[in-house]
Amino acid sequence: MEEDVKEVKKEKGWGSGILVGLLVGIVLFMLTYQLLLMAK
Amino acid sequence: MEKDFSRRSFIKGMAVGTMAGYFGAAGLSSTVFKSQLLPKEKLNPVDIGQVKSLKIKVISETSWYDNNVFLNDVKKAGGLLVNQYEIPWTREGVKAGYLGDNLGGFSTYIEAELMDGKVIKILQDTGWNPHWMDKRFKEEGIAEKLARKEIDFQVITHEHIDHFFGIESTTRHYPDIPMYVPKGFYQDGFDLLKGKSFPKANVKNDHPHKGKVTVLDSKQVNVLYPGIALMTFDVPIILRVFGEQAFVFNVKDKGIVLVTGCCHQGIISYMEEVRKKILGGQKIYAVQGGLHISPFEDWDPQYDDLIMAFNKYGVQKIGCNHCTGFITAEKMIKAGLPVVKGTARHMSKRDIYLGNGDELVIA
Repeated sequence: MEEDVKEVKKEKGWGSGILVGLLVGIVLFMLTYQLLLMAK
Repeated sequence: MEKDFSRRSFIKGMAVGTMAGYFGAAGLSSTVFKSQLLPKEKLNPVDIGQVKSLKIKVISETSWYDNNVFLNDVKKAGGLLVNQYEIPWTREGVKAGYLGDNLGGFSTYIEAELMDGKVIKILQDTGWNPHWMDKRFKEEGIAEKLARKEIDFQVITHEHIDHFFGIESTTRHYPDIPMYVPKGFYQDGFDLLKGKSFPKANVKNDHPHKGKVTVLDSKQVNVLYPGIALMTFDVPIILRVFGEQAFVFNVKDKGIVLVTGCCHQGIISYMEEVRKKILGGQKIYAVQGGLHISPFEDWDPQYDDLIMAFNKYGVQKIGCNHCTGFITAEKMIKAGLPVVKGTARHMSKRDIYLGNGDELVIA
């Protein structure tokens, strides 16, 4: 039983990871977009 | 709280989030926010002025009479990339031809009335078979106008056989007619103008041109008179030809009227260039001439897309003929495009579009 609880607890962190990832992804896209515009 | 947090899960989530954020942003920016994000098109349109009215008369739109004979000549010579001055074109024994000759030609006569009332007379192209062109020039009063030097200038849209090889039909009447040719004209073309013969291709010019020849390039819109301009396109064309030019008229209260020879640059490219480079180019009122879609009466599904695209420009009169192809005209009519009917006279085969002797008036 104690093992099971531990397993569930280990899965925490997904939500905040996705949120941070989304921000990073958007910033990365904006950087690529700007670079492409500059290269043009 | 911190003890419950899994670093591995956070990194996994961040990887998924980054991918989703990147592609999501790309998707949104290219769709929903496209107009806000994409750089604005830099347009610097030329004001070509206006003409009061326009009369366009088809002198000859029948380039040749029998497609199979023409294609066989090309095939025997080695294909569509062979130099047109080295192909022995069939000039006798063709049942459907003019006096057995398979060659015809393309030529259009244009009268543009300027805002001050002066009428500018233009001969666009000169056909191919001098016998046929002499007959047509006589029937339409062009020969007399040339002899009286009433025609202001001649425009050779491109160097192709059916638009240019009949040059002596013009120069026999008016050897010093001012002439405009597009950049890309080969030396052979200038030599033919000056009277050189090309026996292999059965072409000659016994009446050398003695007037001014102006070569127009594609760098700018060439305004000839207020409301009358020529645009040149750097386009490679079959039978070793390069470059084509086409007219842009701006008719008062109507809009832009495009008059083409063969339109090897593509009708959509042509209209797009006009939209970008000519003031008022967003409103194309009429298109006249060859549209080069199915000249050999074959059909490719991509032409259906072309007709759909054409339909979006809202052109109100389509006076197409020549290399447009009958199948194209049929499809255009079916798609609701306003194709102007002809009268099928003077050896034009069908009345589905403007034929020899037919006129399009924009006033």
